[in-house]
Amino acid sequence: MHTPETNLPLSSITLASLISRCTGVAVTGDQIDDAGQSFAELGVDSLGLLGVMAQLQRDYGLPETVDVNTDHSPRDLLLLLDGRA
Amino acid sequence: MNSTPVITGLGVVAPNGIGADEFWRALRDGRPALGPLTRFEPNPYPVKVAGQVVGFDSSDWIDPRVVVQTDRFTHFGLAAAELALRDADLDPAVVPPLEFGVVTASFSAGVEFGQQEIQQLWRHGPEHVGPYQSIAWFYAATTGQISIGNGLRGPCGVLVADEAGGLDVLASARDDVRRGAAMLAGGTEAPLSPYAVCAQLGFELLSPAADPTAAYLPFTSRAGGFIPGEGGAMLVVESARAARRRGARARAAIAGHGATFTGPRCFDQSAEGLERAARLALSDAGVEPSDVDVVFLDALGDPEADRAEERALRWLLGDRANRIPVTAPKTGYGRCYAGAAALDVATAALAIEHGIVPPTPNIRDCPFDLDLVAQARPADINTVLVLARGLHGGNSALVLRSPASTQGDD
Repeated sequence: MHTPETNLPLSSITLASLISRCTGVAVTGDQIDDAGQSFAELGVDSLGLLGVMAQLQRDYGLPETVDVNTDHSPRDLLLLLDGRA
Repeated sequence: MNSTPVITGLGVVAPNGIGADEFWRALRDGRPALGPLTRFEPNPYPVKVAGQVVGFDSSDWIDPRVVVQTDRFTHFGLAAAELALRDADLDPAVVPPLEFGVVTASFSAGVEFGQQEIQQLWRHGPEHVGPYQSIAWFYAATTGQISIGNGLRGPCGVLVADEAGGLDVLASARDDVRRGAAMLAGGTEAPLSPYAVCAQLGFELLSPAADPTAAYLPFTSRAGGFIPGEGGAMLVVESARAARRRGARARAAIAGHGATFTGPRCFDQSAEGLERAARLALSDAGVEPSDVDVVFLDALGDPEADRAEERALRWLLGDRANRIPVTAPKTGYGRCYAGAAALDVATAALAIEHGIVPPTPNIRDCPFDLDLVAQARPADINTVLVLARGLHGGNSALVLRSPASTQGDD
């Protein structure tokens, strides 16, 4: 069975691989740390982002009320998850 | 005057070969590609043999972003479309986008993807169902992805009529190229996930045999159903005029089509419907039954259905019925539902081109009074009749002619 991993901090590399797995877009951890590229610029569409958000809500305790769209960047998302935004 | 529609590109993804050349070599040599059903383990179902596409890697053909959003049947369709465009040497970017469309036939749609998501739903709950389920299962997914991926904004459609639909799409494409420049037409299937196989068991037409060489034996005394296959074909259809203008080779002309309906689960009564579809197609092509050089059989493998098909041919061809070569190459790779007829059309075009009737693998003892081709046979092929029936009662017939025999029609 699947167990939520709410207490685990999410690294850039983990988020990058989660995005790649959900959307098929190849993203590296460095890209998430360095670039302010939006999801749209990376080639992640709204359905793909929906899948990423659903997984983060399930496994990393991201509140459902958090609103992220394709104009945001994965870095914005990481900051939200770290509670630093 | 309308310009004759011609096939200028063949894209094949089949259990016996990827690409028209590999496919043709396997057909010509009568090399069967049926084997144990291994798409899932263990297999507890009363279907032991299948025609599985091997050596297909979706990442060779498709953007990984599209791979995660689509089912295996769409992966096959996108790869087949790419192969067809390459074969036609046609860059979609040079065609006015509103004059290039796509029509596919599908019977199973995105069942494997759907099964994964239903398992997620059942095991973990609704929040575990991915958003791409909303588009991946859809019958029109392949048409949509081919259209988006190649920038085709012409007529787009999908027909759901099992094997008959795989012929009907060619008729649809033929009508569309009369108003436009080009169409991609065909069908692909991936019906070998457990859920998809369960859905097929209800037809009570699947062969339970375990020996791949004896599992799919239409038109024999041992006929006991068909073997399901995956894969299919996409074809580029252009008007003869458009093809000539860009110096493309016409591989075959789509000369005529006919379709009838005789109702679900009554294949014993399909003789009249099949014969009428064939007559409509021949009349549409402006040829006589006596002009037919080869018939590609539907070959369902059910004794009553086979008898009905033989009866249709006898009514259609009269006393020539036992002298015109008939063949069913699909006994070598399985009945791929909507993909089966698209593969038969590709095969018919290749047969015309090579002047060879490909054989019906594994068939030795045909008790019907038909000239069922057991070994590849050289022949001067000008006119081919392709027959297909859908499991829900549609009958379809397509007449292909050698490009030479239709020259000057436009």
